[in-house]
Amino acid sequence: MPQTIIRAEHVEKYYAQPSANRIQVIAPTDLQVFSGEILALLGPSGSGKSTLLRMLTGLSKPSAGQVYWHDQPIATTEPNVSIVFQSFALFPWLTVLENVEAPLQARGMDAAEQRRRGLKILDTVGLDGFQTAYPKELSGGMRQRVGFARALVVEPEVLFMDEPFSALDVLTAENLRSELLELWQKKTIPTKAIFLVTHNIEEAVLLADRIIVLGRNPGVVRTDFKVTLPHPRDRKSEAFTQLVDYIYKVLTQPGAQPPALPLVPVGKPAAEPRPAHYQELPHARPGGIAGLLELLLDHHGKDDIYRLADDLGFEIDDLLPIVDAGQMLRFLTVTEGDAEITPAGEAYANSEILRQKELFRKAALDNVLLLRQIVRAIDAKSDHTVPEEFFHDLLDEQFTEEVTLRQLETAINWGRYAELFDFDAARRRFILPERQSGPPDEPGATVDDPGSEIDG
Amino acid sequence: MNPLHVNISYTRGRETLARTQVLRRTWPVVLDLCVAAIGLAIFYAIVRIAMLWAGPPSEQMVVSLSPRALPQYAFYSVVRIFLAYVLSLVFAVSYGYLAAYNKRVEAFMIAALDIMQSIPVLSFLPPVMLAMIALFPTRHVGVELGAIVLLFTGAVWNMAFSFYSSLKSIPRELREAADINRFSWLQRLVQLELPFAAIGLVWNSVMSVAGAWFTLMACEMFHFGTKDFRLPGLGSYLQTAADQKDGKAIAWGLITMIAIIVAIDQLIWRPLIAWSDKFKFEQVESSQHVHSPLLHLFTHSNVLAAIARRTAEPLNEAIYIKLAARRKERLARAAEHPRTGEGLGERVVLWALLGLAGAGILMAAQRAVLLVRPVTARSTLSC
Repeated sequence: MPQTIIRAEHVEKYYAQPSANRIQVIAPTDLQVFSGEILALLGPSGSGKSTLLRMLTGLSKPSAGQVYWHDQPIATTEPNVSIVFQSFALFPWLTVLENVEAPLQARGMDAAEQRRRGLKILDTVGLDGFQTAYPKELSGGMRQRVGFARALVVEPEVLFMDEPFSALDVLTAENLRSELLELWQKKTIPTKAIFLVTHNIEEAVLLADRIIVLGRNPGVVRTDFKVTLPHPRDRKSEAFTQLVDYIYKVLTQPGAQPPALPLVPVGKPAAEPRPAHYQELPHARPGGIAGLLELLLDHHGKDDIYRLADDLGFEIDDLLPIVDAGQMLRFLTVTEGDAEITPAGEAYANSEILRQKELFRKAALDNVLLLRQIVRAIDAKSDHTVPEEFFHDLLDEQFTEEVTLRQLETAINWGRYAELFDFDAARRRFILPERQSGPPDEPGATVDDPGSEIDG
Repeated sequence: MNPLHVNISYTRGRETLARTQVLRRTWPVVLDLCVAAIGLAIFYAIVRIAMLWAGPPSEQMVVSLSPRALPQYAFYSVVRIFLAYVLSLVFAVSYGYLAAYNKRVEAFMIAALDIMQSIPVLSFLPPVMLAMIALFPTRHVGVELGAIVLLFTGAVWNMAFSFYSSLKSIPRELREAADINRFSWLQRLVQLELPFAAIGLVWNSVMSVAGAWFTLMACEMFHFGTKDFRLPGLGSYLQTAADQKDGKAIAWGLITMIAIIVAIDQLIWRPLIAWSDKFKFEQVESSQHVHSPLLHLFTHSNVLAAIARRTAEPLNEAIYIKLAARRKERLARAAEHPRTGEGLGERVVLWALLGLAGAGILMAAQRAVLLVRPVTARSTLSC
């Protein structure tokens, strides 16, 4: 049985609201980090993975619950950790060596020892000869090597990485990943565990011994399982792609069952949060949905989401909202990580623009509660206008401010496109659309009613 | 080919090589001599200033309009501005730091800063002078300090704002990097906060010093109650020249002033701006750089490097080791006595102290108004 290094008990994060409600960012979560493993925390943006990382390192205090390091509350101990940041977070006014020595300096080490360790770790990460360079003189990949050197120079017990490769180009990222894996497997570094936060599924499956998938709104552990594929892992192997598919499925369908694969679930996945009143509108443009459906038609109506993302050169974060939107409008269904176009979707993709708007309008009214409510409210009011604030407050009960604003933006976008309503940006009000007789404008490009502006 | 010819060109080549080597080897020594000369000049300046300040207050000083007096006057004015600037810098950094990190007083401090910067410099004059002369009644230094504090009130506010806003805009991940690597407050200040704020501070310094030139005249010559104070300086020279309608003297004064401003720009701001270039928070190195021979002098001098190696670096190391040890102790104490509750007693004490300080400030302010009122009334009458 491997030793438990970090144990998080019922940690959660929420922000108090003026009303009785509070915005839950992370639902109460139990989590453990064992020695000897690379643990990947995977989730879409907004699932609170970075927040969770910061709570485990002690940078941020949980709203409730407790984090223990070796059974000691984190507040009373100073765990030996370091973080590799997405933006590298190097000090541009210090040289490479000074950057790497800074953590040693903070620990009160004498100058000669600092220099010795600094040079040694630069040598390890392949930055020999760059000591006196400034970070801005280096390429992105080299800069992240400095980031790794700075994190590793203190010989951390757990190395935390917050999307360390996502600011790098594909080849550089691949290269750094395999070098890190080599350092880890050959035990060149005394680090006992690595905690990797990422939104890149393949990256997680390539590196991790254990994967935790987070769902969003609020952040909750959807599944937690071990990956026992031997290293080096082959992206093209059957087991690998099946695992990637499975994770896609977990991300798109909360209730998915794990496939019969060499993976071992760890603990029980937490219960799903109670169904929300409003669905969260995925942040996708109608044009994007149409584009995806057309691509699906080209792929004979059904394809792996993973392959579609690959075809489009999209990250999962970019594609998932579009898939979610298509699913919400019942233009496509998702099963086992495959997206399949529905008859309605097929009709939509094959129609010309006016007909497309009509179909979109119908689908939106049937399936999207928020849009339905906006249309009803406009109809019900004698002056046929409703302030945005009204819906803002409704959504606010359930979502964070950021999500609420994004949803309203999406709703306005969809509503304008479908000509369900228009939005007067100057007065922040939903108004009746002006039905055009000619071919309609681009979605989202609708101009505000000029009359109202003169009035204002 | 003629072997002899080859031989000759070979020796000549060696000779020229040796010569270039001589120049290259002696260059740092030349730089060191320059640094030594600068050091001696500064020493002389300090002696002169000390002689002026330690003397008795000179109420009946006559400002000479001879151009020969100008270098000395200009020197006194520059020293005043320099000291006022140093005071501003220290104040701006401390004030900005306190405001940025104390949520409880942040809003209050920023509002206070805004109010202070809206007050015209001349309104500070009577109280400041009164206080300073009361401090040193028998020495010239009182009036001198008064003038410096007045220059300070004209220069400090924008610098404080600049430092505060820089602190507020430090990227989150840089802060987290400092936190997770256990930076002490000192290391954070030296390696993160000051460098991040450096460029803003440098440009605001340029502005502040320009503002100080503007207020110089008012600060070097003023009526105060029945007394008429004059400080030897460029400002009083120009003011006297203007009062006596001496066109030639005005021209001389203006030429001197412009020469000094150009010199300061070349000798101080340019090196500073060139140096602050390395604090640019940028991802790619920009191709445009400001160059400065003076900066070259300071960065390539052996003497300065040796002094830094012998003094600053060991001291630095000792401080960092001590800070790290203290952090460990604090943590050990926290582990032994886990804090219970939210320190209610502590908070009560804090609020009580704040209340006392507030009451004290209010009382002192009221006294000050009482003190100043008759003086200002009289001084306006005498004008």
